Amino acid sequence: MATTLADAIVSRSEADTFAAGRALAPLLRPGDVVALSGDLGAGKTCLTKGVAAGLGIQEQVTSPTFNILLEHHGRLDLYHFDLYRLQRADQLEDIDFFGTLEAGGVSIIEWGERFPGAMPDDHLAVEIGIAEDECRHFTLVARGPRGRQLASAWVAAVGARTDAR
Amino acid sequence: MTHIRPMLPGDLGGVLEIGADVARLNAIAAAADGTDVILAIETSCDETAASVMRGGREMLSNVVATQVDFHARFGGVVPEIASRKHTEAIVGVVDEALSQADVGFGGLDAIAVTQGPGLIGALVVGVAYAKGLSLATGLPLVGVNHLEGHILASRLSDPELATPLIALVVSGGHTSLVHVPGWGEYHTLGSTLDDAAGEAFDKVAKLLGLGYPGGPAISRLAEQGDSAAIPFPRAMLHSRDYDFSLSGLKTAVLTYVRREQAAGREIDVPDLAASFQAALIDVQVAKAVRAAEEYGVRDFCLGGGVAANTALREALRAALCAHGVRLSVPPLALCTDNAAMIAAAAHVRLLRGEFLGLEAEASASLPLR
Amino acid sequence: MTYVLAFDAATEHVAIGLASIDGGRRSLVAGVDFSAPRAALGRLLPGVQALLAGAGLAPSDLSAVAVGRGPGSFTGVRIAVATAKGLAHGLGVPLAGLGTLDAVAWRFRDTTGLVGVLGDAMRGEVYPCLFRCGEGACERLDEYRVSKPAAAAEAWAATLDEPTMLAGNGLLKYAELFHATLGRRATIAPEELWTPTGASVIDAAFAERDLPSLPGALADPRSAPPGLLLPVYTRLSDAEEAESRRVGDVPSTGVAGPDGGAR
Repeated sequence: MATTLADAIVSRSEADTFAAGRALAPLLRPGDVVALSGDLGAGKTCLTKGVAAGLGIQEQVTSPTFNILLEHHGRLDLYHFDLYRLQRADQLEDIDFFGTLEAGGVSIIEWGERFPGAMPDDHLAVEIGIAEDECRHFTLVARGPRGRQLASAWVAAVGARTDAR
Repeated sequence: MTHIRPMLPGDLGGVLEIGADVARLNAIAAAADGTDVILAIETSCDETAASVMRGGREMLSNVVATQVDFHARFGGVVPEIASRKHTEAIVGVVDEALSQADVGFGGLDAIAVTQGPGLIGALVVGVAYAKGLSLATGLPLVGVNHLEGHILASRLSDPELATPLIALVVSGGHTSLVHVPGWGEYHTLGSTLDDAAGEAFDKVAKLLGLGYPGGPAISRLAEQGDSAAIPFPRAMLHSRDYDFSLSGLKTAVLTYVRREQAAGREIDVPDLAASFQAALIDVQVAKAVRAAEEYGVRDFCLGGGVAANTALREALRAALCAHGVRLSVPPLALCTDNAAMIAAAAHVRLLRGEFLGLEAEASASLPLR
Repeated sequence: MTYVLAFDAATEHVAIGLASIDGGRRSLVAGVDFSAPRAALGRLLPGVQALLAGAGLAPSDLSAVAVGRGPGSFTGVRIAVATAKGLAHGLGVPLAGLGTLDAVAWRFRDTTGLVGVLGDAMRGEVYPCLFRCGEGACERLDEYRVSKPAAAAEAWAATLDEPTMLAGNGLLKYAELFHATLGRRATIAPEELWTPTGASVIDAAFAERDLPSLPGALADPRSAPPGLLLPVYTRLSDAEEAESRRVGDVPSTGVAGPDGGAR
């Protein structure tokens, strides 16, 4: 069962998106999975940079599109996936996708919506929409108890308007 | 980066230690004579590749998995060899590289392997295999940084290339400006803060419906367009450091496309491609020239898959030439991921006596130094 | 004298065994096992080297290598298989496979009865596999497969009519579930018996019936070239293959989504 919080967080700038990521970081626990979707330029990597900063990660968080997976080490390990270049679900095995999700860190997955069957039962999906005024609207889709817990805690932390469907 | 093997229990451990040291000294001596034969293995991301190289320059073979006829090699039942199927492909690729070079393991002086950066699940296969080979054959093992390989690729086609130099590595996964005061010494001056150059090309191509990978399509269209048509931002052009940021440019292209579509105006794709490419190239060239000036080098080398971009090569060549700096660019086959460049870099490490032990790990974010 | 090396790193536990064959007589020369979570790449080969050196042997004394093909952790299996391929290729000796679950079952070679091994498959799943052990031998009764723990427990509850010993790293998460479902029929083995040892990887390698097997490789070295050995891929079920085809048909999701399917 998925719980959807439409437009739960609104970001007016890259700085807002970064701050939203930073606010999510202290809520994250080992094993948490956050899936990010949205058009190119929506701010998926920017949001991840915010999370990384909040986790105390010092090194530069760059796009994992080519590498498919980049690892960073902070308060928790951060596994930053981008499944853009994968063509079939079985290629997830070649990158040890499932083993990495359970390796004790936090996983952020871009383009995870390409392989819905591969996402864990319990996770938080964030869909970033771009409005005409260039604002970014984050719709949170929580799957499972941990996903719901994360969604509500994050919305409270950002102090944004919630609009439960 | 010399790694000393840990002491082993038992008397024979000491004997093996001495044997390993002798093999290392022999390899260093061969490298100094320019007669060293190195087998290099590269599995940092998509390609499984192997190469045999003599003296760091003479390429005896250079093989990537997608070119190998596995049916001919193994006959009958063969696993599907696709991108990132390193475990399946590695023995066949190495066999092919050895047989093209007409050497066996006994004819080698050292084994080299890409230790990082890259996809960890891919890197571990190359490192594990190379370490197994090293223990089995008694050949010393050399670890190479993938970016160092892209820099040394230039030396394979340009024997005149001399240090000190500045290198720009631009590919799907990397955008790095590196100062090389002497062979084997690397100081990364700056790198991308977000997207790599090749990735920016691919994503903008995708945005314009030009397919993936889209670098070549963009540059073809750009030839017919006006590069001054759309004033895209030159991010960090005037920042005092050598870092790059390309995410903003990608977003600017996206915003432009959406605005034009919303207004019902047709997009001039060649103009857009030319304007985007010019914005990207301007920043690369400006930082390259500034680095060459600051470090007073006479040589500059370009590496990585994006080096195939003619406009970038020509803009860089012209700007550097105006400052008396020579540009070196390897042929395209050596710009994309390959093992010959790893062998070339390993030769330099060998000269410096830098080895890996059997306890070596792979590193997804291995720093270049 | 013929020497063979066998090892497994498909779980967070590394096991390495060295055996000699003299005529028809096989004996364990040395064995070692240790826990190495996310550290198999750094610790496997130093372990092999130390074991050989301790036995007064050099790598070139080996006539064959056998490696755990899984099922288990993908990275662990790949590290072990790639290491074994490098060793066997470099030595010019055959490379055989052994089953990781089998290597756990062989811990119970002298326990008469059924042994159920549960490997952790992650994603909330297990690799369940039944063996019949006793009198110094173990026979695998199942093909390797992946299953939801509850379904595996219920399937065993419906079919098992004799006492069964349970082992394997899947019990770290699901011991309670299997105990509850199987009741008194199941005995959970002590935790130190859930992982392979040097002796049990050697036993499993010699018992392996799937190609390339160690007995076959020793009899005909050309039958087991190092290039052909593959990890056990049990995960890709029919359902997932269907899904991957379906995903391949979905049009791109964004303004600039990736290619839908194969190029």
